[in-house]
Amino acid sequence: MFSERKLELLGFVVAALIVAALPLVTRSNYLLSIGVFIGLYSMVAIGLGLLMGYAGQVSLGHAAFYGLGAYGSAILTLHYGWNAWLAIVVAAFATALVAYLIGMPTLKLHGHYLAMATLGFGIIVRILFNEGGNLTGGPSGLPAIADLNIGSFVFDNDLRIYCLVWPLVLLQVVLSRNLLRSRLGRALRAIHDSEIAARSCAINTGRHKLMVFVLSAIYASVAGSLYAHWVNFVNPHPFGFVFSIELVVMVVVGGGATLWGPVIGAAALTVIDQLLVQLGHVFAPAKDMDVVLFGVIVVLVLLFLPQGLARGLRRKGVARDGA
Amino acid sequence: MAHDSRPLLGVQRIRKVFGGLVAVDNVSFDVHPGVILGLIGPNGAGKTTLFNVITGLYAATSGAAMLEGRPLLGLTQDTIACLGVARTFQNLQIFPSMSVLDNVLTGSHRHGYSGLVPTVLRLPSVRAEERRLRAQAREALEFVGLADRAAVPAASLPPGQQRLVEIARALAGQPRLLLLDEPAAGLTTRETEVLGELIQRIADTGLTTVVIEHDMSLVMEVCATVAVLDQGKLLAVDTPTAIQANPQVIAAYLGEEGQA
Repeated sequence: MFSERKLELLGFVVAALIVAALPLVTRSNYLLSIGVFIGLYSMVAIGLGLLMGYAGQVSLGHAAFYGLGAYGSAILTLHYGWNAWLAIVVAAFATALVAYLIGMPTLKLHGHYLAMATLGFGIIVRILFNEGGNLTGGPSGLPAIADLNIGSFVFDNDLRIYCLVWPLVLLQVVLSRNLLRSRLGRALRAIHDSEIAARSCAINTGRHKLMVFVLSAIYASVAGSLYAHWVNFVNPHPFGFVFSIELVVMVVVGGGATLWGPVIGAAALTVIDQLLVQLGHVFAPAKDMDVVLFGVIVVLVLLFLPQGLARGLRRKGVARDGA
Repeated sequence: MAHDSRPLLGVQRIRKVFGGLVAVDNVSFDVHPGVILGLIGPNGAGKTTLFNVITGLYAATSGAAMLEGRPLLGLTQDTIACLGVARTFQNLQIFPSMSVLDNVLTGSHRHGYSGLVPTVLRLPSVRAEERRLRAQAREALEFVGLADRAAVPAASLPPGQQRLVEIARALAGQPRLLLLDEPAAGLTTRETEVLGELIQRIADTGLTTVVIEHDMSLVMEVCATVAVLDQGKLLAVDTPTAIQANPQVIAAYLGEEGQA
């Protein structure tokens, strides 16, 4: 529909303007670094949103794919002296292969076997990072990961990384849109609506779910690689179960089956998390309240905006358009 | 009946047992190309179960189903659909979150081949394929008379039109065999008339069709052949006129419901 397309374009322009505005209004490294984090989490959440919103499957191990990208880049550049960009691509391929091997047996089955498999997988990967000896640097991790560069231009500060990450996020949104408006996207939505009817339309539901799962793992891996080259350091801590849950919360809060939902969710959770950290400087217990607060937010969203913030906001926009 | 062609669909001694219940009991019949066959029988006779076995939703206990001589049983639902077996469901199975056009487009899934990477990049080959599928889908929508509802959310249509969406979705795949499961269920008299006319037009295109139906006047009007199931067993396969005169059928089915 025409109005729908216009709304889609409008959403994209508004988002691009917001992204472009942040570095213009502030040069605070703190705010820019929050912007980078939102961008990286968005990259992971967009893939997870496709998986949850369209394939109807939950992954409780996406922090591990993010970690595989980060460690893959770190190990290939530090231990083997690879070019960083090549390392990102190879780490993403390797992560895709791992996701394929996990998804292939589990996505053929009905029910939430993928959630269980990825839960276990996430824990195993975290242990491997911790116990990897010289390869992973153990609990203290791997320091001195090189910055990314294009020729003599080095992505060595938050602003530059911001300008690398966000165009990629916008690109991902465009790719997702292309996917959803295609035969494959219709197949995914069909699976979400009625698996029986989808199969009667010659759609191999297992293969389509697997495709989305692998794609989401690739997105997570690339985000993890960028993270490693940005902070120049990896240790096992950020890649645990809690982060996997936070990613799921981002998708639920923002809305999985929408273009911008995962980005909105990533922004909302990151900002709330940082506010709590700030509050923690004055009132110490606030720092540990994040899990409780996220729980409350998820319950509120599920009660009042079950399709997430993005769908809720959009519905208001459409209503105003029609009025 | 004499047919010089080989059957498009061969149902061969299909048996389906659920626990202690024999839902389909050694049923065999042939459906020849271009024929529209009515499958009738009282509730619980095993008609839908038979469809579910042929389309791979249920595994048969024994027997075989051949599509142009190729065995179907044991294949997955989507593979069978991919071979050109399309169906509709007794309890509507449209995709409620999608528009009417997208519903119908989904039916033409088997005619596309673009992979993930070309799709997300929206390469020219993908656009060309999309145009081709859209033309196919619009044709199917026009055929069932819903061309003007293409952009409407499918869930907002009345049940009668949702039924037509399901039929258009099945036709958009340009199937070799169409299985309609009680298409008139829940329709008004007027809608049933429109449906009867539509099925007649489908028959006129030469598409081989099996239709499960309770509405006897509809069956007698459009079907060239009628197969009667009762308690899982095949009672008779014959012309509508002969079926109406068959004492066994009258006892088991028509007698029970009285009117016909």
